[in-house]
Amino acid sequence: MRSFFRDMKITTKISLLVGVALLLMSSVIWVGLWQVSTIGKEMGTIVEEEIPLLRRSNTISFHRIEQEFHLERAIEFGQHVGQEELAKEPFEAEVKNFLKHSRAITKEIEEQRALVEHIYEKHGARRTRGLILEIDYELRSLDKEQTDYQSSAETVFNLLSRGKLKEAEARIQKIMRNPGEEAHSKHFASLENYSSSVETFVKDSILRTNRSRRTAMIGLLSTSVTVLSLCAAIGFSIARGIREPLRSAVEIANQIARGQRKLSIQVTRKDEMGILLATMKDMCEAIGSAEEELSKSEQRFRAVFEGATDGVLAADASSRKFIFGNPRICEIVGYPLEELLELDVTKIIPEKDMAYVLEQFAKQGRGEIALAPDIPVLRKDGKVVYCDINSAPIRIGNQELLVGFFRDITERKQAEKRQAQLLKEVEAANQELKDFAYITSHDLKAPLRSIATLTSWISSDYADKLDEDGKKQMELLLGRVKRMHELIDGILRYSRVGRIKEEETEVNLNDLTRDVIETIGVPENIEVRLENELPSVLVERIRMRQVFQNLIGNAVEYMDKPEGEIRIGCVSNDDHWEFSVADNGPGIEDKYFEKIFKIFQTLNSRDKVESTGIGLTLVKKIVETYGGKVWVESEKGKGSTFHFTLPKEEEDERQKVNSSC
Amino acid sequence: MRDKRSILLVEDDEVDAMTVKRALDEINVVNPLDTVGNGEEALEFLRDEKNETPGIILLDLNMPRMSGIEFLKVAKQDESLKRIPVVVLTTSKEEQDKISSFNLGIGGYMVKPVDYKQFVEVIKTIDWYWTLSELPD
Repeated sequence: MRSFFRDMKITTKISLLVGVALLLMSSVIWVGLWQVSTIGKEMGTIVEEEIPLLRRSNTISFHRIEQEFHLERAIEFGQHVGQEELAKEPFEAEVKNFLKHSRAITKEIEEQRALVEHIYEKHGARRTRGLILEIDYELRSLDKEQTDYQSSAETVFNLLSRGKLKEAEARIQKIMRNPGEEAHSKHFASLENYSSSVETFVKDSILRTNRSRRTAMIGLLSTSVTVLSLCAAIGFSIARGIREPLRSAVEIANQIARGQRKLSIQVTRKDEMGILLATMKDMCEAIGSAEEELSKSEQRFRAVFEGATDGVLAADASSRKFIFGNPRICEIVGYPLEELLELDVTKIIPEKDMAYVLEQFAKQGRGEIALAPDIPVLRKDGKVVYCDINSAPIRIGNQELLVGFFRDITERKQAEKRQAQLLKEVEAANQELKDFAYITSHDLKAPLRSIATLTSWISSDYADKLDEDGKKQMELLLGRVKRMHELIDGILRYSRVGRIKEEETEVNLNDLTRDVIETIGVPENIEVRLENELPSVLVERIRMRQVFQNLIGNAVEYMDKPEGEIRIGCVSNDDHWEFSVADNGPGIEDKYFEKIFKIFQTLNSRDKVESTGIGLTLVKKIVETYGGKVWVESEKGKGSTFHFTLPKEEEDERQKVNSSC
Repeated sequence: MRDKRSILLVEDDEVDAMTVKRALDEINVVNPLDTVGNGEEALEFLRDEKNETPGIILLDLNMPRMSGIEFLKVAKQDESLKRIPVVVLTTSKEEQDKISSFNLGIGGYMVKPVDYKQFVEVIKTIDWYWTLSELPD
């Protein structure tokens, strides 16, 4: 039941209250009116019927008094009637008056009896029956009394008119009051009783009316009190029904204001206040989630801001004063944050660079450049560091800000400087080496040339003076000179690889290989075959030529079989090509696999086979310069296969097509 | 070589100079041969009134004091010398030397072969060419 009331809507409650109030008000009014009408009716009765009754008893008194008066006067005159003729007229006049009043009394009594009967009929059920009956009894007594009196008086009159004084005397004593007696006392007892009965009756009526009125008042009062209490109760309940949840609502609002997001208040009502409270709770939870999200988002961005390796610094767009910055920018400029926020942009740019810097920023603002590069930044300690600065305008609330992202490139610049320095040194060294190599080879070769020339002159000029031994020695001399020449050239070539960078072009290896084969001049007994299509690679042509020239050349040079076979092939792997030059030559023993790639290493003595011993070394160096590997597989007597790899690089479409070699 | 004008050989290496002389003799070149050891001496020789203006200069590049290129720079600015044809006779195959030489308006660039026989062929070719070619007076 309680919850029924609690869950009733407030509007319903108020309607109920108003309805009940109206109902009770109207019932109070109705009760009041009813009481008023009752009283009115009673008052009416009193006024119309009972008071006249009282008044009429007085009328009877009046007539009785007159009656008595006229009786006395009649008796007075009657006593003289026998003696005086003059007394007769007044005597008869008095008798007439006496009878007039008598008749009036009788009429009055009749009327009053009728009235009392009427009252009895009309109100006898409710009113004090006893009183009414008494009144009637008194009236009858009165009637009897009056009749007696009248007849006595008439008898007296009769006697007096006939002059019978003496007979009249006794009766006169009976009906006339004694001297000193109060008027109406003897023969008016009934009248008195009647009067008092009527008085009592009327008083009773009035009392009753008073009682009614009092009852009405009480009734009205109690009804009013009840109504008011009920209204108060309902009103109170409504007020409580509003006050309580309002208090809860205020409490919730306070909790929200204090920052609590998980509310302790339970909502059990289902009326408007209940809805309000539930909504407030929902609102609070929504605020709570939003705050959490915001906090998380803030944390995320703060983490980025605080931990960024680039400095972040925001300035007001108009005043150029700094608004906020992250720890990194403080590191970069060497100011603690509080000090930094006192400054503006002009304080951290060196004077002399101000114009340049502003121009860079203007360019960036116009979109001409992505960021302002190499901006000098003046630190607190006076040092100047260099930063690439990216700036962006943002708007927070009403404030226009410029946010700058500072990348300290000082290190990079230093690295660049070092690198430039190193590059210069390397270039210088390179140049030196180049000069050295050139000069060395040239200056080493010059005497060789002379030796060769002179030797050949001696051979020819003094041929007749030389014997076989002599001629042989000259031959050997010339041979050695040539060898040395080639060795020097070999060293020069070897030193050039990697040092002298030729232009990288796309080299079709099929064409190159065919070219090399032609240049070498392969003897007829040796067949050189391309097993599959070689790819086109992006390399220095000369170097690739040297590789193939040496490998194929070696195969040709050392061929020991009558039917020579040289097969050149290529395999495409994920990230590199593997080339092979295979021959059916003399083969190489395992233990020499590494040695042969060493500089000046030959397998045969130079007297047997003129070889610089540089060829394979050169191949190895060239291949390794490109990031590849070279190795040999061989079986003594059967042949050898030289393999080398070239890494694949980012190439264009054409290469990719060709890469399936 | 044309007429009887002399040949000026600018070469510091004795053996190389001997080689040139010997080759010229072998192909029966009768023009007189003057030899100087470097660019400086060459200029001195050329500017000396007493000396006959050569019909051709055989110029080595690598020489002390004043190299061939340096000599060319001076000679080709000199009104009286710049029309004398110069054939560079050098061991250098360097591209840069070729470029510098041709920039200075040489009349030929020959690389000295190691082999003497080939060397003679080169001299022969120079002789034939410069015998055929006209020269200003």
